Amino acid sequence: MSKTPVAADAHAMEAQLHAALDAAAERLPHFFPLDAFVASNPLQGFEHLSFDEAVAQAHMLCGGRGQLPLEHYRERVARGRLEPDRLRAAVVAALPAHVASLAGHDLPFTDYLLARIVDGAVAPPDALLAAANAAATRAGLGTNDGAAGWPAEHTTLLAWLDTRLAAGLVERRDALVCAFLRACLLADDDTALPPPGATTGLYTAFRRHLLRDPLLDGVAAGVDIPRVALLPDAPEAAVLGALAALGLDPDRRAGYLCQQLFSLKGWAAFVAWHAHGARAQARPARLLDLLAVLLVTERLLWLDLALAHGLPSDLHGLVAHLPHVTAPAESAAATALAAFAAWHDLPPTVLDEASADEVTTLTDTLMRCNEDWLALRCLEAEELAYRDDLLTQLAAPAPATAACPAGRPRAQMAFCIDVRSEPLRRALEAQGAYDTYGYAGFFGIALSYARLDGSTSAQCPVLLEPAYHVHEQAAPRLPAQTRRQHVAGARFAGLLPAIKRALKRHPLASFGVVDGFGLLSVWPLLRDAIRPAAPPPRAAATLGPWLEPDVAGDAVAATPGLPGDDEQFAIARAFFETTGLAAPFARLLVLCGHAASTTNNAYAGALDCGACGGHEGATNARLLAQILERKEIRERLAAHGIALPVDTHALAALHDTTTDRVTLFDDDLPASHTADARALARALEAAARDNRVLRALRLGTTAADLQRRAADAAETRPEWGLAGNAAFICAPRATTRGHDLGGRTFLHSYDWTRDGDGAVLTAIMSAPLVVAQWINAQYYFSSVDNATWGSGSKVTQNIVGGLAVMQGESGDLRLGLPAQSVQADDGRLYHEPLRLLAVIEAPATRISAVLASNETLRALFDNCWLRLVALDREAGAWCAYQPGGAWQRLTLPIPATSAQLEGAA
Amino acid sequence: MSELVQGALALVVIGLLVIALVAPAAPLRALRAASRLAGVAAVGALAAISVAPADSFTRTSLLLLVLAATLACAVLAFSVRHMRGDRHLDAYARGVVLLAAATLLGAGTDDMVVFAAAWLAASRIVVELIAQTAAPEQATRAAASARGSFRLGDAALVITVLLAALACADSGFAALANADAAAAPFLQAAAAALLVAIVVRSAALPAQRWLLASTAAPTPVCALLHAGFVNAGGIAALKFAPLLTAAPLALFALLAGGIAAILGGTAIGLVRADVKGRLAGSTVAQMGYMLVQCGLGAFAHALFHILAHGVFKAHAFLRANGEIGVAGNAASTPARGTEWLMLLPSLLFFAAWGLTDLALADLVLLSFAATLGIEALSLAWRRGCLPQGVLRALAVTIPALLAAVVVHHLLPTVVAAPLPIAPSAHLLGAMLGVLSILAYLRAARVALPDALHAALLRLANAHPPQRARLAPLPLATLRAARRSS
Repeated sequence: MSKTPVAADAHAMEAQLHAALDAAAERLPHFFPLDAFVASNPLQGFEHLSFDEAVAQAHMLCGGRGQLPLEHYRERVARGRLEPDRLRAAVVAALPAHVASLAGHDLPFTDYLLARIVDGAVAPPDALLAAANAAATRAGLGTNDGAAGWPAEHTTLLAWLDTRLAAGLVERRDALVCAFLRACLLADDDTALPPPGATTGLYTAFRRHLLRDPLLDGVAAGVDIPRVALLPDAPEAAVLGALAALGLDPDRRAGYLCQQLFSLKGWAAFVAWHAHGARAQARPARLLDLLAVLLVTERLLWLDLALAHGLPSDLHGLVAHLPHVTAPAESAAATALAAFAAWHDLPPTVLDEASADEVTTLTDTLMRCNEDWLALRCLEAEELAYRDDLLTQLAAPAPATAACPAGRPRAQMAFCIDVRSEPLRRALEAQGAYDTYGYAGFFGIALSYARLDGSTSAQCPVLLEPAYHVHEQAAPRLPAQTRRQHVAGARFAGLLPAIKRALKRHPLASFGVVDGFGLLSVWPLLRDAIRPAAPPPRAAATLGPWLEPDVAGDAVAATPGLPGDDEQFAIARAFFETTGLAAPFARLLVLCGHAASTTNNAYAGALDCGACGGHEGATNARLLAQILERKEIRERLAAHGIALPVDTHALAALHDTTTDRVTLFDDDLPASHTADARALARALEAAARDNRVLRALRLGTTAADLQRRAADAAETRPEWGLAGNAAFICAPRATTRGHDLGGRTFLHSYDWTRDGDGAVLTAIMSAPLVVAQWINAQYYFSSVDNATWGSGSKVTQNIVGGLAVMQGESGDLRLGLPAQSVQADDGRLYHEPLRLLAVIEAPATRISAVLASNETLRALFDNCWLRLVALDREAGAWCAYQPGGAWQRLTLPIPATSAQLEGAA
Repeated sequence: MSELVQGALALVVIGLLVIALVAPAAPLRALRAASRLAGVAAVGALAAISVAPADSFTRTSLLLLVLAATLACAVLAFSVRHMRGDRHLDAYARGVVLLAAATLLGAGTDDMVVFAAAWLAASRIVVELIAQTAAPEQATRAAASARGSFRLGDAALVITVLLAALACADSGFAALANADAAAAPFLQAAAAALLVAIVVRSAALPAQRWLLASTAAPTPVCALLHAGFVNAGGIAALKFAPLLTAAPLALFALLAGGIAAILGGTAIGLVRADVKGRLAGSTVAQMGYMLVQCGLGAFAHALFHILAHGVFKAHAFLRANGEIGVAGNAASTPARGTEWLMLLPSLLFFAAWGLTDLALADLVLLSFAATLGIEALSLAWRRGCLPQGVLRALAVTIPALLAAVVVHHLLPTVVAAPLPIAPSAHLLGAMLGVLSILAYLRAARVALPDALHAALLRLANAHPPQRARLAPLPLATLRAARRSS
């Protein structure tokens, strides 16, 4: 009888723990392995909050900044890059009250805050400071109690003890925990010795490790706590026991778990990813295990500290015995009040006369409008400036050379929406009657691709699971003998590198490798250092024209995992309907994926196609081309009003974004079309040449040097990737054609007049737009605080387990982008952090309908994670979306439609 | 000849020092200029080898100079592009150019005092370089780790040089070979001190931690440390060879220390999952192998190993950023059924020892090269790449064996002949046995005992967690600590 309530209680506690853990896990950023690096919002767990609040909460949790420092914007204002009028508008719009009254004086906020941005804070005179302090005390504010104990909602215990004692506790925890996590979760199965018990669970293995560690012995000998209580068998008991020892109220526990996870957020994100994959079968590990590891270690370390200094071994006693912090003479509130009064030239007497209510209201506002708040207002001003510039640019007449071709274009070419496609598309259009389109680079085919060398990649956005499983094969057009040779070649190509790699790590053979082959490294060493070899084009290096994915053969029906006819038709139809690509069809219909050639680059995946899960995009393009070439599919398309003429042929291409080479996969093209393909190749080469000149300028180098960067093992900035991204434009190409958008925009083709029920718009806004926002947020946060949200400098990075990165010799796993991806040099940003601006050419009412049907999407806009402007041709105006759902008509001119342009011509 | 070499060396070192002086003003140009100068020095030293007399000391120095100059040339040129835009570029450029100068001087000099000066300077420069350029939050710790270790090693080397130079009444290395009998006790003491210096600088156990901690430094600094700086221990062994061969006990200690380093370094490699940590473990083991060769008196083998390992490891570090996505490939097929093959090399060693009259150093090398072949074949088999794979595996193995045998029979004509120490065979056989067992455990995926694994993790940790200091701190100290933080 007596045991049942206890058991039920324990059960309830565990259920509570799991609920708290789930809540904490939702805050974590995503982890992606390096070979499939995908940009995502590091604050994705905070997207349900407004942007301002999210960055504030994240700052509390792990100290990371969510905006550039105010000094950055001050400098921009000083150099005339940021107009004070825009700044004022942004501040006014966000201020809760515009005037403060203090003892009969009406004092405006706005001018004071603007002065803080432009001139910086000024130290108030002592007399004012004393008066402000007195006023604040009278109002019951800012009595900063030095004796206050550990603020569990702000900081982990170890971090707080470190600020009090400089005991290096966090450092010691990391040295113990990170080394163990690496050995347990990231060691290669075949080249490392995993910790005993690693196959039974992370916490179990850690427990066995600690049982042999001098730390546990020392603590257990000194305190009156049994070993089993210090180090319980089950992770649940370990977490609950440690939490109980901390004396935390049950309602604070979830918050504390979250803080613990964020104190090693890279590892926490990794474990969350690891727990849901196939890896977890060999090495079971859950977030619960990680928390148990962290909390048990925390407890041992503070007990050890207490023992070493002869302090009580209960937390309450320990905290009470720590030296008191003397409270600063003035509280932050009083300082803010004094600074405000000083700027308004108020005598101290005014502060003395002010009522407590007035002081409270005023200081509340002043504390809220701190430097971070001001920096966010500056960010808004920058964003509105960019928005207005972009919209004005689009409304201006485009150069005549860029006009849409009348009649049948020479080729229609669909690119990925990636910002790097925009300049190349513009350059190609300038070469003649070429039409370009923007579509998500996986071309609507979520597939996993198994190559002959044994590697497999998921070629789709990470939001999706691969629906099809496609195998690499030798091209069917080749003779059987040649095909066999290619297959054998591809399979054995990977053998020699694999042997080399295995031998280098072998306990015995590694000595033979060094003595036998070591001297031969002179050649590659000098080549890497002095004259990097020219790179093979990415297309030839990874997917020669003789190897291709196959869905078109006779085997389709018989092979499981491949898209069937119905699915292929749906894929093809979605392509035409989404992009608005329609008659007149050109003789060549080109689907262009993209990838980047780089050497010795851990972040190669970040430069490849994000829509293809951080892999090359040619495979998906080749598959769609094959599908569009099939007779059955064409017949069904024709029945749905998409009649491709018999002389229209589809083919794939690959845009190498580091070298700007475009490779056409034209081997299957009939002889009648080779001349067209050759002309297109020439136009592409000319376009690429123009684009290289532009890109070289942005990299501060020469066009010829771009080739070297792709092949150079020493290069840390092979290209700028998606840096600079700022807007997502969802409109027919006619709206943007001819305008130099600076490689900063994702361009998605969309024709609202063909989208009767808004289904296409819904699809675009809920997938490609969201992916673009992920990318944008990744670049944003990696720029504003690279030390927290980015992965730091490439020169000190250290790759762990072939899939993650840490800085230097130990520590947390680093998520996000390296400093070199967003900074021109240390301390000088290349990427200008702006939240994404979505520009959609569609009636505002229709966009509202899409938002109304998708709550999460709407929340993103309402919480200011991105901005939205509609080009509403029915209303004849640009309409800006306001958080909450209203639309604001802008007074800017709108661009002409293609029909109007033709009329004018 | 010797004077000519020393003169040219002095010119190159002075040139590098001048470049280091102006480096903070124009770091990229300084790196480029220093790289070119080192390249010229490498070519010059290579040319001098062919005309140098068969005087083995000069040849040894010239070969070491070729290595040091080649590394400086390559790594500095690499870092012109790699470090561009780095906030620590000024300090980096100055530090690496100075380090190159010190390394060249140490490798090429024929004077003990100059050697000691270069050694001390290099220690100092490396500590500064780590402190100024390493990953934030780790720089201080890594530099402190290096400083602490070097203090011991540097003091030992100074004692060595003082004793040896005083005993021989001459600071030239040449004097060591023909010291008179009266100097013997001093030279014995010098050899003992030299052992300490060598162990610390080669990061042999128990001095491995500074090297592990130093992976916090930028990649090119790591390349210079692991390929050049750690060699100074081996270079000292080569240059002070007469001192060591006159003290059999010192040789034996080197052999034992080397074996410990091989086992420890290999174990570090087996529990570290990060590229740079694994490379550091490998350096410890490879340096241990070099010490074993010295301990066997096979100084020619040791010299060859220094050269081969230097360029090999430099390249491995510079390419460390590309080591992604290699796990999970087909190479990781479990080695079921072939694990026992890993036990062959140690058997082979004993068989060859009993049946042939090859020198021990050659025997060890042969069994290492044989493992290469065994492992390559077993991999090809596991990946289903037989019979084509056999050819590729043999293409890997045969050149290795050839290179090993040919080089090791030619080299002794360059440096002093090997000195057989018979009883060491058992020790070496035991080492091979332990390595074989490690390889077997790894292939068969057998877990180690708890205590052993925990000990290995601590061994492989650059900063193993310590217990809090046990002395109770007075409240005033606590307050001071808080104020300073």
